[in-house]
Amino acid sequence: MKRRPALVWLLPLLVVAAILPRVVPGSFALTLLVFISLYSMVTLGLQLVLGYAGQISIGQGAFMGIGAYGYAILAVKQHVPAWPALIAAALINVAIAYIIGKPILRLSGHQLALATLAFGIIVATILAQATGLTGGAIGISAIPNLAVGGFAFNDDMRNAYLAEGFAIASLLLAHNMMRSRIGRALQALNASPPAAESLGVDVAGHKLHIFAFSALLASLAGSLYAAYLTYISPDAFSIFLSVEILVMASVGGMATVWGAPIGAAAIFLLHDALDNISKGLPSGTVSILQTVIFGAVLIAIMIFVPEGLTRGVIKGVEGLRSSTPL
Amino acid sequence: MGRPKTHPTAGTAGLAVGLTLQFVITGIAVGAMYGLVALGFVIIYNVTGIVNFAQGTFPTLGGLIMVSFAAAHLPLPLALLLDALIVALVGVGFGALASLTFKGESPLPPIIVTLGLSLAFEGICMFVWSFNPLSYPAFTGANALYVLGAAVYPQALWVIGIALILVLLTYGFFEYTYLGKAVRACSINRRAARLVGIDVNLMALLAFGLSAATGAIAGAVITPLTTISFNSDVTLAVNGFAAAIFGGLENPMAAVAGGIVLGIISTLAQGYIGNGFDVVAALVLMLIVLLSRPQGVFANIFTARVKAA
Repeated sequence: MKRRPALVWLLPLLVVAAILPRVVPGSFALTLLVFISLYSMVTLGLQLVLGYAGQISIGQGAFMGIGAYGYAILAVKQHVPAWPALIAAALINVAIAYIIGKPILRLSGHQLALATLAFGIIVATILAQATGLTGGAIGISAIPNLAVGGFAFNDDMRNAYLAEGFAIASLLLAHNMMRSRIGRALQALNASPPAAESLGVDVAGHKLHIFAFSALLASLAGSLYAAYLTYISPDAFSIFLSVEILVMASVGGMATVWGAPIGAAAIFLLHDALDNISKGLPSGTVSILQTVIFGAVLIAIMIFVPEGLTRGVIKGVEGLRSSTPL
Repeated sequence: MGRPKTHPTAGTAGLAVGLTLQFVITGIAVGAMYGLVALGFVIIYNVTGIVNFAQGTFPTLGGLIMVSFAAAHLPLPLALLLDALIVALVGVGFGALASLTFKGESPLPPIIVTLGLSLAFEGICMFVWSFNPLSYPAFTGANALYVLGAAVYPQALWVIGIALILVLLTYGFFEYTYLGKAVRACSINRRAARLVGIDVNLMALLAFGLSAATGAIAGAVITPLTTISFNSDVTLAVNGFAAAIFGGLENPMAAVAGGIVLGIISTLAQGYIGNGFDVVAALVLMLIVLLSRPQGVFANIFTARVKAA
């Protein structure tokens, strides 16, 4: 196996991440950057569950919702300081992932898809209906920003750096994990669970750990989301969020951690492009156009590049490279 | 999508027994409704192995088209027939696209494609019928009948009756017709079916068409009882899934029976626990069944010999 030093891609990535918030035009683009970074984290978790462990989950939005609401409830109602609230929400999420993951991950294929979909809808309903805890449809406002000492992450620029930092750290962690013993075990598991099991891979245990790790990433992204917007409401964490995350993972491509940021960026930029195209049209037409095109893009990608954009591009690049004499 | 109307005096009847009876009777109609959607899932799943996440689109489209037909004063039987035909054609299109990405291995591509289709059709329905919930007059009379003090709308009886007729037709088709047996052969062993000369791809399209027609009729018959709008498909699909899994995904009768039991329980949950808990109750039961009895609660009661044949 070829070992490339991590610095080869890490350095350009850090440079781009450092420059990007300074050069993008206006606060709207910064918001987009924050969202792309946060959704990359959630999508990354799903990539690992889906692309490496081969398990479909349509419930990742629920973990993000629990992360956001956990942070908001602890920070606003229980007056827990911001960072401990973020960590506590993450621990709660991981515990939930282990508890529900243990029975649910015995399922596979469409059964697992439906079970995780059910989990997502149940959590979304509780967030919307448990008015005493979550504020119901009104949501929770005046959520505190995160801060380090006296430095509060209270504007778009600072939040863009914070979100990028978390996203890059998550990517690095996942990238190294996939090259470790755990990663190879997971890939073996995806290729053939019985073969992996017969070689002594703890199949059930690995699936469960990776599911919990995906919940951790989604929880952090959810808490950062709440701390950035300072206001959350249940409709942000409906089942459509889980579907959108599944879409980002599929568009980006499975079995590569880079699929996550590419998928998240592609979907957010598509939304943004549709917004721009439909400027000037009546507002009803905008949502019609968006919904139809969004659906059509999904279908087209599954038909023409089923392995996802990242793999498609990598294949193309490798094709070029192998055809040029060294 | 709105819930079926309950009679205004039902809540003030005072007697808890009366109220419970009202919930149970409403629940049966709700359950028949979800059973009809579940039936559509079962048809496609049994033939292609695809779980169609766009299943809610068929009743939604079927209901909305009927609203327009009713506004154009088309006679009811003709309108129903045309409705089923149009939606069946849409279903065949769905089937063609979903089959294109389904190689029998990863279930993910057809899940994404059908999710994409349901989104695209939400947009199209929004374009044609706008955002508001719509409805049209009941087939026969809008006044409630009273059974032991509980209100029953004639349209609810239509829903239950049509659910029963369609499930029997589906069962008969799969069990007793040559074409039905050919379709079922594809689900048992695609390769063997192809070897004996069955056009597996054509059968998949047929299954999507039949499922869509069933869905269209379901939408047509439930719309006067509730309302329908461009985004009704999600609620319908989720409850239909729950019903199909709860009853048994491989057996039409079991799926519809599952729908009726779930309908009763979820209406009770909605009435006694609170808004939104109908779906939660249905999904919790679905999860319990998935984990403890994945073939479904009623799978062995209505032995259809689907897999054994």
